[in-house]
Amino acid sequence: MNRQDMAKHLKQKVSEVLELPGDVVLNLPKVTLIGGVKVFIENHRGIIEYTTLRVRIYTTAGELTVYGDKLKIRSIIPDEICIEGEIKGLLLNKDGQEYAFF
Amino acid sequence: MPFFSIVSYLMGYVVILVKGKSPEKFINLAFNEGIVLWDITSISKDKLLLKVRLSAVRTLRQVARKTNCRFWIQKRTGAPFLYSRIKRRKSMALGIVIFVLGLYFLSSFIWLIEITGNHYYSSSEVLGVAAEAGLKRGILKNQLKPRKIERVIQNRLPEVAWVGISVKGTKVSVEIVEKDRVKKEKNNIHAHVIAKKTGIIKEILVINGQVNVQEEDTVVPGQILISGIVLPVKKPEEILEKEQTAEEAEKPLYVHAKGVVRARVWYNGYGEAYLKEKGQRYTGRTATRISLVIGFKELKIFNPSSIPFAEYKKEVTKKKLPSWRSFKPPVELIKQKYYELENYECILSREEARQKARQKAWAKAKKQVPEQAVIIRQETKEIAGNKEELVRIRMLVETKEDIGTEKTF
Repeated sequence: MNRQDMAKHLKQKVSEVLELPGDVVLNLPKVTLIGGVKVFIENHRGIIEYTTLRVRIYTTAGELTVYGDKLKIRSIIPDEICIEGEIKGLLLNKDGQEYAFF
Repeated sequence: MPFFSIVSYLMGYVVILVKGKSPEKFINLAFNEGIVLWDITSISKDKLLLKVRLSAVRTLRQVARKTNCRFWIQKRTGAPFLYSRIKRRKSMALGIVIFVLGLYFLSSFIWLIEITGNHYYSSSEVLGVAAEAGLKRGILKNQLKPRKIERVIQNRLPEVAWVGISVKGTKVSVEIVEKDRVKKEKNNIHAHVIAKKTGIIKEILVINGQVNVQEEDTVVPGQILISGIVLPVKKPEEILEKEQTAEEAEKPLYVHAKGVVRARVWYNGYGEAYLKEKGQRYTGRTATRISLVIGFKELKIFNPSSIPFAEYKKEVTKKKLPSWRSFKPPVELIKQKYYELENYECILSREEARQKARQKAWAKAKKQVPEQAVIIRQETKEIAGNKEELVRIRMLVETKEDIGTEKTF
């Protein structure tokens, strides 16, 4: 275990013990989905790809892909992205492993 | 975010078309530079439409250069662009400003003075006094001292009991309440006191004029009770003495007859009641249907699909917008209210029916009796009928009242 991993491990422990939300301590993305029409992604690291059918966003937890139709980036600021449209799916790709959660 | 969009509008924003191999890089670099982008829509793989504030366009050029993208401004929106457009049409902008200022300026004057409640004084009289007190058309609103003007009007016009001045926009309403004055007798007219009703005379009090009737006389409407023509009293010796002036003495005196003539007057009332009563009455349940009529089309806004009552009474109220000159707005709101009715039947005993009929008869008789009359006797009589289920009552009300009324001749 190198130093960076140790620091991460420690942070995780701290957040568990103190019951602090992960997105604050570990800079993890916080995804808020509003009824399939709007999705907010906090703590993002930038856009990889953007089309009306798919938006790929780079985050600390991996690559997050928003699938849908008529997708539109409502706003983009360093902390948060807001995507609007007919959202059909969310996929998180972490180190080659895919997690679909919508 | 309304705050955000208001600020954006005030600062001005542009819609730009970004074209490049990877517009995503353009976006990433832009927001890392602190540029706020919104409403990003992709048109094709290498084209994007986005909105950005006017102040960020300069920075965006550097971003475009770094990411090998090009962009074109498609649309300009917001206050700075509006301002530059106004600058090109200076005279119109000036016109708008003059109009608004003019409206504001003119609304600070009083343009209308309305006087209500005056009968004794004419409106011009009141206006004259008000003008002296400082209430004139065209004076500034803040120079108006309503309390002072009220006081002046009250002092100058003695018949005024109360004055109220209220300002509504550019209109001043002067509300006047005059003192209740005893009507001045007009003595120069000649009049009789005549009967207005049939009755038997009980009391006569003459103030002026010559009595034509006696107590216990029966009089009919229109009959002269106190005459305004006073014939000279003839004394036999006078006739003998003043034969030469007989003509002069014969001359009757015309006066304004006055007096109180009280008489007994009768009123009849009739009422009937069935032993078995049938009818309809409200149950208290209602249903409302509201529809909007636009032109010839009727839109049902709120309606029960069908009226849930077997028997009902309908009440329709229509509401229209006020018309302006010959223009009538073709919109109308119709509210239909349905009141449920139910049939009922109740059986009364003979005594109950009698009571009810008597009440009806009394109400009918009472309606005819004037306020000043004194009821001295009342009598009820049941009318025997062939119908067994009907009770009929006649009521006789006797009053004592002043039956005299003035009639000029």
